[in-house]
Amino acid sequence: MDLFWLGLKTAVQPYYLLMAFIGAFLGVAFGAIPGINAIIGVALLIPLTISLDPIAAFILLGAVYTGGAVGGAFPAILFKIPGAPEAAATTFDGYPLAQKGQAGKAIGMALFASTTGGMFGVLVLSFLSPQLAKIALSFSAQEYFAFALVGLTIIVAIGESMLKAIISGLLGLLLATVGIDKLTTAERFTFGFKPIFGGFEFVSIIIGVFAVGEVLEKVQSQEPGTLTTKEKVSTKLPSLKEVLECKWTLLRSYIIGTIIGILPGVGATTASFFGYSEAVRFSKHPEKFGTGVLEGVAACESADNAAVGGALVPLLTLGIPGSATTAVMVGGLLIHGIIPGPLLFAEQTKFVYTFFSGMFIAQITMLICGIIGVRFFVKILNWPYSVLGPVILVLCVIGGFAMRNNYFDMWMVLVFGIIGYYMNRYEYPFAPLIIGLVLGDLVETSFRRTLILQDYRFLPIFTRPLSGAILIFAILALFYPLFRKYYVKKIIERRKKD
Amino acid sequence: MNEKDKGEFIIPMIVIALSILLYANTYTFKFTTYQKANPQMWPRGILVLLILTSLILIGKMLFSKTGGHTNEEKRKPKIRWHSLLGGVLVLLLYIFLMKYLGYIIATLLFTCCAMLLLGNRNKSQLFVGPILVTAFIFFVFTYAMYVPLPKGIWIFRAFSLMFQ
Repeated sequence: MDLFWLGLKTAVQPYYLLMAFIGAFLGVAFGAIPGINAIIGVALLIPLTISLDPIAAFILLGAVYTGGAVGGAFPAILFKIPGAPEAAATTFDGYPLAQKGQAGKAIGMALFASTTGGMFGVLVLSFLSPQLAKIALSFSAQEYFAFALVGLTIIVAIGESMLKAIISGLLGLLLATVGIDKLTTAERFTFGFKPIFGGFEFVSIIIGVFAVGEVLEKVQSQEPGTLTTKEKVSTKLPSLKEVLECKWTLLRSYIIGTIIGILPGVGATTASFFGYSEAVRFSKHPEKFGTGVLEGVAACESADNAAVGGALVPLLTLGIPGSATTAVMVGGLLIHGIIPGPLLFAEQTKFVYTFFSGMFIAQITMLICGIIGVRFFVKILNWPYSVLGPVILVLCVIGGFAMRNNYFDMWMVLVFGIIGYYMNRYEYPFAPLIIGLVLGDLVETSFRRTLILQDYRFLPIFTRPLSGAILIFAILALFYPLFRKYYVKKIIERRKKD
Repeated sequence: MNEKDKGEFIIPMIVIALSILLYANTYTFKFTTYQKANPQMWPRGILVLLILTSLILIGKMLFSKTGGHTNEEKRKPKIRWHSLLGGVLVLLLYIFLMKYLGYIIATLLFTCCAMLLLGNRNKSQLFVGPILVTAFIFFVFTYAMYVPLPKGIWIFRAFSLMFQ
């Protein structure tokens, strides 16, 4: 607790507060624009954080992540177009509320639920992570291999085609092998080309596949991509009576969101759908859901943002990203020389606790940005893509260059942009590629170390109690997405029928 | 085969071809220690899995009625090659010319071309947009982030240095 207060003292310094504000503002803006989400936002901002100190950089990225989760609710409520996948469930009751002329109230409830959900998630992150990290310090190569496998099981949960997701993940694992092998110093797939001796620049790949690929898709499809509303929107926060009416729904969604966020492979989108479906199940008036009730908005938005804090738990304690955005955030940590994992809590205590406090403050800044900036965010939706697209491309190319002041990285942005375009076109999800790239080194090194330590026998990985238990969890995590897909499909079908 | 989207087959086929080539390349890895857990083992395992998964995907697409798509309605419209190639070409020229023209001139030209490519015909936006974008990113990277941007060569370098 003392460390949390110490972190809070640092995080309330004007410089870090400013970063939390900028991050929350940009995050909400990125989330509000359909086609640009928190992942692209974090990817674009990583190069801009080079000159910042690590704490400021990660508060900024964390605030973008958290802001992006709520920004998606704006177009979902106003236009029935979720700005981000996790805001899809918000359309169920948010849009009907807007049609009744209560858009401001729906946005107010979305902001309140997101802020309080986010705070709950961050509190759980702050108190659970150090305990998990202590346990993780006793892990050997076997446990790390097992945990990395758990992380890789996320891959099957992403996208519509499991086979395409697996191919994408395997390509990520393959890309991670390029460069000099850590254990034997052998050159692998370098073809004598020096710029890739140290492996591919992680951020260039992220920027390329996520952002350039998306813009190229817009260039070729010539989509106008603008939305307009004549209604003047101003946020109306819920009254105490309205909050008390939703108290159990909110509390339930906080818990659901946080737990789902911690689980690998099941992120904010599942959390919001799950939160919504449970709100319907426990409601005394389930028939009212879908017609425009504040409880519906509260249920999904609170679960959605609570999942953000939860998803950071496996990243910070084990170095294993729990979602696509946290996989991208690894890039932000690595450029500052910070390696996520249990040692982070022992070696970078100040960083960790200031980040926790910063994330807590980011929830408040997000609320302020949402209240004050709602008219601005609605205006952003009117910006033509023909202006936004070139800005994104210039940021991508210059961002790639800025990482190492290297022209080669700009070419990498282009190459991976084209790859990203084709992946997007043929529905190969990007997230498995990035997760494979992030976890590739850890899973390979720990696997080979285990083999060397165990005299080239596979069995001890399964018979060692902890690694065996984690591997069983990995198998469960592998099959859970199949169950989840079925479950979400059922909810959507039920909603359509209603 | 004609009824199905041929493009769907391209990616797994490229993946298979590349995987075979890279598998052959693993024989060139030079190392002296670790007989079994050698540097070839892991990439080879991934390459074999890639080939197998791609083959299963091709097989699934060949024998499915929708050509691999989960939903017929989700089939995307045909690629507008001229727009796509235009976009890639402009980006390629931007990166190539930046080394010679420097960030400022290359970005002004690129932003204008990219806006045109994205269908913007508003003259005032085409004039003001590139200047604002170039200036904003220049000041953010050079003065806020202290990241030196490409300055170009010869007179273009002299031009870039005027703004430093």
